[in-house]
Order: sequence, then structure tokens, then C-alpha cells
Amino acid sequence: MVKFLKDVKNTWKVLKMPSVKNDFQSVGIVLVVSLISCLCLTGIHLGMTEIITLILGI
Amino acid sequence: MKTLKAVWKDRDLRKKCLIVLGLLVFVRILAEIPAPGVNSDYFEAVIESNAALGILNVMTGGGLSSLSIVTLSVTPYITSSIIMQLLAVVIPSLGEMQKAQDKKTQRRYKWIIFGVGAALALVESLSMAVGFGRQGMLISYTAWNVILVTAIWTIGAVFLAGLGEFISEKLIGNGISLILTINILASFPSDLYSVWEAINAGSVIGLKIAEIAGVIVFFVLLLAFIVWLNSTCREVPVVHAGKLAGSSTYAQRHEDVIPLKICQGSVIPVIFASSLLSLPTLITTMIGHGEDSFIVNLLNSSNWFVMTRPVYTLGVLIYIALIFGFTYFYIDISINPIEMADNLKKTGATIPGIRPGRPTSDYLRHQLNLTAFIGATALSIIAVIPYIVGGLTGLSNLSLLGTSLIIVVGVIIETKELLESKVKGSLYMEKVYKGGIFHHG
Repeated sequence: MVKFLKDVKNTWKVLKMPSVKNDFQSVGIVLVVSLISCLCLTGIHLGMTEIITLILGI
Repeated sequence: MKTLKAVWKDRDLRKKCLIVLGLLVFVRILAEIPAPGVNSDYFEAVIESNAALGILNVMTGGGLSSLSIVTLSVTPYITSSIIMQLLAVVIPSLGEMQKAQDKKTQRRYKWIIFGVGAALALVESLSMAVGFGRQGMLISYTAWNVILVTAIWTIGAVFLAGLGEFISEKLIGNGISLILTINILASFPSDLYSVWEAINAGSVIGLKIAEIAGVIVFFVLLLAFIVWLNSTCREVPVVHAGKLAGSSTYAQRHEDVIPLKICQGSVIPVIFASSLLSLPTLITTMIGHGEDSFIVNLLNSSNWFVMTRPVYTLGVLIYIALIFGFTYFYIDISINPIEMADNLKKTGATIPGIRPGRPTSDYLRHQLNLTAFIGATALSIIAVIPYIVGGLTGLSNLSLLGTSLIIVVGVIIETKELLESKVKGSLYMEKVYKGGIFHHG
């Protein structure tokens, strides 16, 4: 177990990680896409709720 | 921005992207239409009492809590894909079909997944209609209503799976993943509203501003951690030596790497672990007794990190153990180090310092185990965060946190990379047609 954990530590040191710049660039893209999608989805939700209320009366 | 402009300029890409967006809007419109004869408020209470079911609800875009006509969404199809992946290990003919290169076999394999998905959708719809129908989910529990609701939910699930496959094959992106992502994103606004309400409950303005800033910083850091988890890998160096060209052999060292992602199974281990944990609560709710036993409460994630019932927090340890177990299980069934070592040997490639054959496969297996340990640890942290926040603040089932965010990040980055490669491809073809490549060459 100790040897395994030592190996994990050594593997951690050689992992290929994204640069901080690339990492936060991706975060930015995810945030922008999510925000735009959320606005559109809220619009769809509110619109559909109105339509369903009008049609079904519920 | 550059990619978006290039996509807009390319007529074919623009058309495909707009159709995909239109279809995703259509999916959300379907998810807003309630199924006939159901009590829409029923499942909200069930999900409130079992946070693990919340993951399923988020994946169906709130379909489960609102009991829409597409309540099951694409989840039966995803379950079917996972089951088939597991079966491919035990049934050799299925394994061969899964790895087949020819389109005919690939199509047949997809149809099998589709068929199993449809069967699962039928079983799930019927179990829900019968099990929860008599508990109050159906406004009137009659045979006709059970058949009607079962048929609608099954058709809804099959239709969405077909739509997902249509997007993947004829349009752009992975259709099933895109539907899953749009469903998860659909629950973000209500989550944001819950967080806003919790913050707004306080009376000191300065504290409110600090809380909002804290939430934003925490969210951005969590996103950065998930992006890191998605992109980090262990690169195992490989050396290709000696190539044969015509009648003369020339020795050319060509260095390459085998990337071993630390999060090979993505969210699959968490989905397996949550599904297994939610089973006892789900079964006791369906049969109507045994809900108060210690084991059921221990496995019910709604009881974790709740200050008034600290003993049940021990259930988290079982959850983490299951995530680790399923991570190793997934790697074991999806990656074959012996096959990888054989392929390296066939192509004349070696890992520096490791002999070909058995030592190479042992080395790769060990490296996979090490990277899986790091991946499972990171995955456990992300999976547990919503429960800590839920237990401490009372805000349960936040899709903004945790594993659903891994899916959103993964799909958005994957789609962005796909669009970039398509744009590059079409620009290259444009150059070829204009003769630019040859003039410059």
C-alpha cells in the first residue's frame, strides 16, 4: 500500500496537465455557453408554461 | 470567436448547427408538456427525500420531477449502452461486434443498443406507472391510465434516443450527449434561483455581496477543477524504431505517446454508485414500508452532512468506496493492457526501458491503476461537494455542482474541438479546390 501510494505520488509529478491559461480559457467558454443556454432555456420554460396554461387551463 | 465566425461562413456547417439547435429547442419543448393523467407534483416530494434520485432528475432535464411526456429522456439508451459495454466482456461475439470496423456490423450493434434501450424504457415506464401510480403519481390508478402513461413514456424515450442518433449520424456532434447536456443546463436557472433565494434570506447587504462573490469564485474554481480533470493525462512514452521502405531499411526513431486519461470512465462510476445507493430508498418508497430503517437512512444521501443526524454521514464512505470500485471496474472492462501491448509489438513500438510482451502489459496495467486512483479521488471530491453543500445549507439536488457539471464541461469542450476540426477540414478542402495547396507546395 505504501509503495502504491509512493507510485501514485510519482505519477502525479509526471502528469500532463493543461496550462492555467488554457484551463481558464475553457472555463470561460463553458460559462458563456452555459449562460446563453440558460437564458434561452428559461425563455422556453416560461413560454411553454404560458402556452400550457392557456391550452389546458392548468 | 474565430471558430464561430468560420462556422457561420461555411454554409453546410451553419445549416447543420442551426438544425441541431432547433432540434434541441424542440427537445426542451417536449420536456415541458406534462403526460396526461399524472399528478405533476408527486415526484418532486420523492426526489426531495432522496438526493441520489436528483442526479437522474437532472439528467432527464427535470422530466422526472415534472412527469413530462419525455420523463425518461435518453437515460434508458445510456443505460443500454453501458449494459452492452459490460456484456461485450462476457459475450465474445458482442465484443467482436463492438470493435468491428465495417459499417454494417457497427450499424447492427447500434440497433441492438437501441432495442435494449427501448426494452429498458418499457420496463422502467411500466414499473414507475405501477409502483408509483398507486402511491399517488397517477390521478386515477386504472389499467387504462397505466397503459397510456407507459406507452407515452416509452415512445418518448425511444423518440429522443432516435433523435440523438440522427444528430450524431447526419448532423454534427454527439446527439445523445447534447440532449443530456441541454437537459442538465435546463435545471441551472432554477438552481441559480434557489441559491439566490438562500442568499437573499439574509438581512445584511455587505454579507449578501460577500456571499455572492464567494459563490461565483467557488463556482469558477470548481469549473477549473473539472476542466483540469477532463484534460489531464499520463503520457506513456513510446518509441517506434526501424521502418521498411521499398527494398532498403532505414532506421528512424519516431517518438510517440500513449495518453492515459485520469478520468477514463468520466461520470459513469458516479452514475453507477448513485444508482446503487438510491435503490433501497426507491424500493422501500415503492413498496411503502421499511423507509425508516438504519441502513436505508445511511444509504439515503439526503441524510448526509445533516448536523442533526451526523451518524448517517458515514454513508458517504460507502459512496466513495463504490466510486473507487466502479472506476477500477470500468477501466478493467474497457481497456485491455494485453491487447495494447500486442498492438505495440505488432507495430514495432516499445516503451523505453520495458521489454515487449508481458512486461509491457504489466507496466501499462500498473500505470492505469495509478492514474485511476488519482481520477477516482478527484471524482469523489466532485461527487461529494453537492451533498456537503446540501447538508450544510439545505440546498439539495443542485445540478450546478457535482457530476452533472462534468458532463456539461466535457460535452461543451468536445463539441468546441469538433467544430474547430470541421472548420480546419473545410478550410483545407477550400484551399485544395482553389489549388492553393499545390501552388504553395
